[in-house]
Amino acid sequence: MKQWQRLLWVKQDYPDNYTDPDFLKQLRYHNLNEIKPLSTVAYKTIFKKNYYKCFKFFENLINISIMYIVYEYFLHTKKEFLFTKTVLLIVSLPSVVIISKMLESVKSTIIILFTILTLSPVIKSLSKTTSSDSIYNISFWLSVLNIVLLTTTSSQSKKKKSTNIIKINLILSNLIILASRLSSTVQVFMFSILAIQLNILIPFYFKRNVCYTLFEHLLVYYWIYHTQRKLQISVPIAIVVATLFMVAENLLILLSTYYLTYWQQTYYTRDNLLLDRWDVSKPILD
Amino acid sequence: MVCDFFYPQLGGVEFHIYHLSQKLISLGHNVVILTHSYGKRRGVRYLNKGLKVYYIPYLVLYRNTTFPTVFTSLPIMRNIFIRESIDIVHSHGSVSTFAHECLFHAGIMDIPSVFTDHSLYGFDNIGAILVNKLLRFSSTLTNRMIAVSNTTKENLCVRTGFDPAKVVVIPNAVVPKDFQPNFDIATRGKVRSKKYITIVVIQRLFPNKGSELLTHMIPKICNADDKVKFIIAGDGPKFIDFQQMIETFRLQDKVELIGSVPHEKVPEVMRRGDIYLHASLIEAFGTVLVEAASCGLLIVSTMVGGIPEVLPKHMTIFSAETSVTCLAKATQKAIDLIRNGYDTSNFHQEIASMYHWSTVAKKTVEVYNKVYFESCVKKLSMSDKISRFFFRNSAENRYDGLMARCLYTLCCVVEMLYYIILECFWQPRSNIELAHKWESSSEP
Repeated sequence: MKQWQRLLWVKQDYPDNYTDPDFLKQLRYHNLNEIKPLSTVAYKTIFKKNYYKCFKFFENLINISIMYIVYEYFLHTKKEFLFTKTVLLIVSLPSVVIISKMLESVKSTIIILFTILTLSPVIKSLSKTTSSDSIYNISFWLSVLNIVLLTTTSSQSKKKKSTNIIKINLILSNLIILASRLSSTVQVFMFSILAIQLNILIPFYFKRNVCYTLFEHLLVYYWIYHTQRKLQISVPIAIVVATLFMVAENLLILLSTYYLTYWQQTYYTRDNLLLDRWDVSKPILD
Repeated sequence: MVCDFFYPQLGGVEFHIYHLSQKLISLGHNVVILTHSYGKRRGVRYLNKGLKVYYIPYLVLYRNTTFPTVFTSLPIMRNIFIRESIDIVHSHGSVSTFAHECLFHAGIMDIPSVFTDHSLYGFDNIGAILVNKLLRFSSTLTNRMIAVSNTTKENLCVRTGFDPAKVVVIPNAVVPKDFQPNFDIATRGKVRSKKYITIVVIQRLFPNKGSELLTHMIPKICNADDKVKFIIAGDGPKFIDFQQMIETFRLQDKVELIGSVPHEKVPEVMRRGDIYLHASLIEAFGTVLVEAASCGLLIVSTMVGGIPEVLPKHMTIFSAETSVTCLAKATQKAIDLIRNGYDTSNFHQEIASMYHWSTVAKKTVEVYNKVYFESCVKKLSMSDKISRFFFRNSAENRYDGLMARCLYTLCCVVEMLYYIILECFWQPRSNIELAHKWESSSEP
């Protein structure tokens, strides 16, 4: 009998359900042992990519945390100290960079500031009737969604653009619903400015700067300890604790990066080798 | 035959079902098609040779796929199965909700079932994962599967964990008389060196059909060769990209973008060309290649999916990679061959002897006979069915987690109870009137 050929146009003396010994051979051949280890250069590239991915995740987490810390701060601040404290807050956050950048286009900055100021009473009263529990619940899920989206943004430019729009909308929705719990219009205005700065201007319009982000993280940890008056922690100890937390956070980032790279190298590569035969091929536009 | 996609919608699956049904009727079988209603087309309609079509009113969710409910279609489908004395259920298409539900209902009603898949599905996107999981569930009691190519067979086996011996490969076919070549094709070779070579592209302009490759490659070819013309037929989200390409590279004289073409006009467009260019990035079979070859066109194609199995080497020039350079090289090779008088006049006869719907129908009937015989010999009891849903079989076990298997079993038990209620109280079998069969000799 003639050997079976993997061709549909040839009439063969085999039944239609004939299964060749080579059936799924490629799948059987690929196994964990056959995957070659990556070269040092390739490993470094992947490691670096993953490090930025993990770093981005923590950065987003911290940015959103700052927003909540500021919010919490506003909720419990007496009106008479509000203005001075807010100014201090803006200065203490590394937003000087942002302001200087914004000053480059004074006109648009003024327009944005006044629009937010005008809209503040509206934002404040928009979801006033909703109970606080619902507000915090919705806000939590919006933040989770936001972090997921921010971290998993594809590098493709078109997709990135559409995801950015969703992210900005999520942040604004979060801001609007949270603002309804604040007591004065000035608070709403200050909070809006800060939230927009932290979550929209910094991540979208400035290049990722590790030193800057680390400083920001340090500040957040310090803030957490300093504002907890019940703990009775003095300023130097709070700084030390915050630094320790920052170091721990970085270790966690490194650990996650290492695990992600290991996973990509073993399981993910294997699965891709096994199953990419039926996926849509990638067009090479050389 | 069950599928969400059927006439008045036109496409590969729809034509497959129609032609197969017609040939089965010619072989003396009785065929009933179940699909969802299309606008005002609802109820029972008859097509050529008494092909009966039930257009069932059902909520259409997305791209002509009905809303998946698992159980709600049981009363109407059971009614039709009993009314039409159905012996075998044949479902088509993994993304058809009707097909899945029918397989499930048929299994519970002890009707043997066959499933044909027409596409390839990956494993790394949420849509494919859902479709694969759904197919694993609905095909639990399915007797046989039909794949349109050997690649599809492998894909089906990995996706469903089905025994490869129970998956049959039956390729698609063409109606040769609809895809006739140009009558002067034999003489054209001599004058080709003086005139333009026309390259035809007929496809939906989607990213997975390689539209990006084409928009990058066409200017290259036009730049390299003055005497080449392109005819691009089809519509889709990438249509604008083609328009922009024409404007950017000023190819108005060389590229004719004609938009969507009705199926009956496709051969006409094909006959205007010398080469058929296929840049698809995924393909289970590629019926259009066979159709183009039948019209006497030389094929230039990528080597993805089941394409390498479809046509003999002398009809095709493959691009080894899905890259612009490779595809451009292959196209240039085809242009040179045609210019040097490459004879394509025999293609039509060769294709006619390779792919024919009668052969497809005969092979399908063989599958039906086996399935019917098996079901007569061995009938599964209710407990067997439940255990099949829960324990699967040893080879498949590793794919399904405990949660999934519990859910499958729960669905099976609910369906059985529903079926018993229908049989005993709601719509007893004796209350359903049997339909008269269309006499195969009395052709309209």
